[in-house]
Amino acid sequence: MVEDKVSRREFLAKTSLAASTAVAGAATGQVGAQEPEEYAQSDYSVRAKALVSVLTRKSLIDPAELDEVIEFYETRVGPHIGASLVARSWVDPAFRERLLSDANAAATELGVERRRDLVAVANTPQVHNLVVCSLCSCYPWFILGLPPTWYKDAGYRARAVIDPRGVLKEFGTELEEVVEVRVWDSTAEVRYLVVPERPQGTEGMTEQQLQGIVTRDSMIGAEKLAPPV
Amino acid sequence: MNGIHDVGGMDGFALPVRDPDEPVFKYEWEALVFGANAAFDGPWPVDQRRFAVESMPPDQYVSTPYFGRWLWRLEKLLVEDGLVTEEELTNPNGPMGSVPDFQPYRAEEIDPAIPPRFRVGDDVIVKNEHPAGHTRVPRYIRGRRGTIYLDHGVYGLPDNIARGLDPRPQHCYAVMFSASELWGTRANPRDRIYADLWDDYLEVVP
Repeated sequence: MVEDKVSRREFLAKTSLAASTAVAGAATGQVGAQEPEEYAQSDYSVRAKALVSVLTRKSLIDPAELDEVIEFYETRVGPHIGASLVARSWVDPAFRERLLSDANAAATELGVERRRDLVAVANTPQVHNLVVCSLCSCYPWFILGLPPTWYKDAGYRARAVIDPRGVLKEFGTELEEVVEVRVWDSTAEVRYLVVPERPQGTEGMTEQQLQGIVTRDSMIGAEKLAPPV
Repeated sequence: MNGIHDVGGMDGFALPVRDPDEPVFKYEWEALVFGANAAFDGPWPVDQRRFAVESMPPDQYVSTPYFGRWLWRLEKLLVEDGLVTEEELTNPNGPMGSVPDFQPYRAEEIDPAIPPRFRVGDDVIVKNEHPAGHTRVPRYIRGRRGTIYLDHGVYGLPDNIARGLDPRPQHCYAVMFSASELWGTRANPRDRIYADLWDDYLEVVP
């Protein structure tokens, strides 16, 4: 991490120079030899560097704060937080009840720094929950980190609300006809956590071991958890 | 607005592949764009930021990656408010103009005692409105009948907040729709879709 941080600082220090060089390159057509995908990435890269450089020079952002926020979302916030709520709910039935009736209080109880209101919904043999944001990319950052690319993709957002069973099947989970599917379209400021079913074969596992088998996608409802191998 | 962002229920898109090992940021520029958005304490509420992305021309929206839209949005909002100029972005080593005064956005205090218009279990109809500005009612539920499932409490109305108007704090609910009500015979009648909707979006079933 220390190395990453140093490289990002160096990267930022070189930002202005790199941006101007690349802009000059584009103007003279030197970038044209690249593949289209690389070209697009280099265009975004030039613009992003220019933007950060301008905001920094105009004292609208503090580069140290920019570093910190990137590091925070890269390393400190992530699915392990949601997994701690799920694992606790598996080993403590009273906590599970509190999580499902008042997820805000339950998250606070486990020391989660809560930035939005949270609702937890449980998968059971009869009910499967799936979370989507059809309008943009609303997602419980504070317990799962930033959303994966697939969650932000128009293909998922378009289909999850009209064909959740088809989406789940393509994602590898075939639901029986009798299971009720509940799709939660996150259209407001409330965020949803799916509590997956505890897989069979985990009876002897500790709470900490259980945390390790809870996947990010299972807490969105995009997959079921398989028994540990 | 009836924009390209409102994709719920559209056919034709490919389903993305899930990558369990995907890094938080695939490219360095994505981290920079995310970091700049987070580190700049700007004058815009989240609903105004969302509306900026919704305003992206549809062909550009579908061909631009996620953080590319964020980049476009931040450039647009900064330039529109005169905080940054296009010349400065084109020539980041050149002269920088002065920054006009601005107030970082802060949400107003919300009174949690504002009473709800509906109770859990009430049947409601989503108003069939098509505002040209920002709204959080997806097209696929407009005019449809649902049931109040959860009362989330009091929140400002996004439509107003995005326009810089009085936020009109009011209750927001998870409203349950049967899949058949939304999608007809294509749906499995067992299935349910829930959307979070404000009082102003809903009307009493006549």
